[in-house]
Amino acid sequence: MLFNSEPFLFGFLPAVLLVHLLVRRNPAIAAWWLGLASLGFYSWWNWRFIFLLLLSIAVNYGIGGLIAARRASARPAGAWLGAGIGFDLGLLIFFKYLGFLTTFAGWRLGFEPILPLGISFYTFTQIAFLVDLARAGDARPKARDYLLFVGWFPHLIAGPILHHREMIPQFGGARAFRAGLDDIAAGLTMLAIGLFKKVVLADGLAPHVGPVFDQPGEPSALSAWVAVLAYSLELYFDFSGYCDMAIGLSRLFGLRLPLNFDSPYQATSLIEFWRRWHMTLARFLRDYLYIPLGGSRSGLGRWGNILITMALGGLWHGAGWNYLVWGLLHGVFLCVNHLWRALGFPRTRAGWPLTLLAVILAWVPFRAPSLGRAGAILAGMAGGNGLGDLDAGLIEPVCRILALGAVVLFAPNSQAILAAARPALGAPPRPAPALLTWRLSPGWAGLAGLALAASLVRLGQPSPFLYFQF
Amino acid sequence: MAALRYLAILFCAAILAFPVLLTFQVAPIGCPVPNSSRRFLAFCRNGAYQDFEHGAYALGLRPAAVAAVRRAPVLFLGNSRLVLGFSTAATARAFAAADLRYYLLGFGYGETDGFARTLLRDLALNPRAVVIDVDPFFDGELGEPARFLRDHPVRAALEYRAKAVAAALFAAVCPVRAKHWPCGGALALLRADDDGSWELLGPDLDQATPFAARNGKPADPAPFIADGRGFLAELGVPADCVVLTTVPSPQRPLDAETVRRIAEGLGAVWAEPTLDDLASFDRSHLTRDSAERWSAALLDEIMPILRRCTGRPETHPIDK
Repeated sequence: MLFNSEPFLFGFLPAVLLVHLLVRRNPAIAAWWLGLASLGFYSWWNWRFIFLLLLSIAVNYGIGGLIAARRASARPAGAWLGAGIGFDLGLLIFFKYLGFLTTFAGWRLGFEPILPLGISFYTFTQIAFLVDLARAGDARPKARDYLLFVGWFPHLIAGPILHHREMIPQFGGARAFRAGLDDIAAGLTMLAIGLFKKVVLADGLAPHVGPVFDQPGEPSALSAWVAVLAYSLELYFDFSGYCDMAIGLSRLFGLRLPLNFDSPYQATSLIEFWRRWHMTLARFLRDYLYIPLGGSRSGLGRWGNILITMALGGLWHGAGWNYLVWGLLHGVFLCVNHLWRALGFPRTRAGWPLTLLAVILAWVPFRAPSLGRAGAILAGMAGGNGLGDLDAGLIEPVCRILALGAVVLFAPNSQAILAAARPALGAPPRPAPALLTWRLSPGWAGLAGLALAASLVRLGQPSPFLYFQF
Repeated sequence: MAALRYLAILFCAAILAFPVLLTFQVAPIGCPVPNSSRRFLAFCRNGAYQDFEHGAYALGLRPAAVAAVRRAPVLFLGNSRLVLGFSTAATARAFAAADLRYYLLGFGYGETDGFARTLLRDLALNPRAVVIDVDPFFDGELGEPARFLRDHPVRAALEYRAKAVAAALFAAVCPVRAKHWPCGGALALLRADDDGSWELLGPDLDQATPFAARNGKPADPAPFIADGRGFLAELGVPADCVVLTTVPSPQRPLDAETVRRIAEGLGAVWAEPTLDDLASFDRSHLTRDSAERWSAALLDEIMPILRRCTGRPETHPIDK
């Protein structure tokens, strides 16, 4: 069930919200209800994989209990932590990477594993939980809270990657799950913005991407640049739209999710880009991979740690050489960025366009079906196949790219516009100018209603979110 | 209180804006909308209008067309090749001479018996004779618009109604027979309420590519016969009043022998005149001239059957 589908918007969401409003006075019942509703949401896609999700939750919760018990009696818990992480990575490798690894090794797999939706997200969420239990002695939550934390439907299938320390405390206390009318107004507005970003903006760009990326041929410079820029914008509006919807939906139930995007294309360096793009993944990679590897403390090893972290970050997106190359490219860019700073070179105004160029070029292998195709597109972008003509077919995408490019490069993002409502966890982004600051006013209500209507008009053919495949 | 007012305005704005935006979304921009009340824009190859005729019949959005279908004792069933193949002066003349009503109840998007069954059931049709274009027809499938109508009934009802409103607005403001954007230029099909015939408008329709009269491939007729038996049972027309044919096309999938065996298996009549020098304008559908000649030849052959089945036997000149 997609957020941008009629069954979700007119069936699942109102039904779950209605029951929630009836039971929310009792946080225990509310948590069980939302946890079960989340499982129902997940099983809509493929009910068989609900057992895998439940197995993953049960094993991690059980091992979490063993780790907590050993910590409480001052005994080492490393073996159980290793078992838990091994189990999580085993599931991930089996379902996500087995085909890739066996092909690489030249073996033939007698079957084709189906990638369970959201497995990368709920696996990382739970690895962080086990590590913090063992390392920092975090308390093990109640079973119902753990089920809701891992399975919470707005984040379950495409993030953001939640952290137990920021979610589980929200499930307790007298005010738990108690969304007021202000929360519902802010949540619905975020939902409308996210829906608009996905179905109007991102899906409007999609037809200009596929023909160049997915079909053979040697694209001209113009058509290659149009496709790559269209994809850069499509991915941003698609994924940030999904995250806005997840944040808005959570707010309807009195919960706050972490911020996941903060105008990443306005970053003036690669280091800053990774503090603004898929922020919860970057946080996970930093805290649970880069720092345990030694982080920046190990002299020359720092560069290796960056490359390993980004390579694995690339592979997290999918089992393929293109994702590995994308991760390594970002690793190299980050090394250059750190080196630049370490050598004491000043920040220049060229940082912004250079960062943008590096990010855009790296999206080519990320999106291309093969490295060969990525090379052909990059060659086209470099002018290897001629400049090409600005024919009638390119005028519309060029206008679209210019308009949406201006929005992502210069306009405040949805979180900044709604800063007054504190829609997400963490420090609010820089506030928007007064004219663009959201208020509970008739004008903003009308705009949100228009965005909602425009999105509903385009719901006819729901298209999956790009990050579902990861 | 401010939040309550905010939510009320948000929902009101969404509810009011939705039909306006939907109508704009499916507007027949660039399409030649007919000004006549007896024809409608069945299809237009533009951004979002595309198909209207499926909704026109299934949702009863053209009451005159639905009434005409119900009145017609002879129905023609099949896909776009059937409708264009019989949207001819020869067909109109032949039925006028027999004083018989007919209706071309074929549809684009490769529609077969799946959508025909839906209409038979929903419109409570009761024909006396049918002519079926086995292209292949008996496969139980649904075309894309028919699936949309079945799988998303609410959405489909809203979209098709919005198309009807948008087309009426365009008909009111666009000049008659406009050929240029925003009132013309795109490939479009106008459909007559009275007999379901199409008029095809658009660029590149003057080409004529000749093709071989005998083409198509042999296939096992058994699955088609099995599906056909179910269809004929639902149709309620005696098998000897069911004429199976295939409108010639360069892309014809089944050869004549297979169609003859399907007809034999169903106890139906097989009729398929073989004409030379047939041509197609788009490598799929007959040119106007070829359609005239072929439909005249077929109707010459089957009109006695249609007369018998509809209770209008040919009168001998001496009895007149």
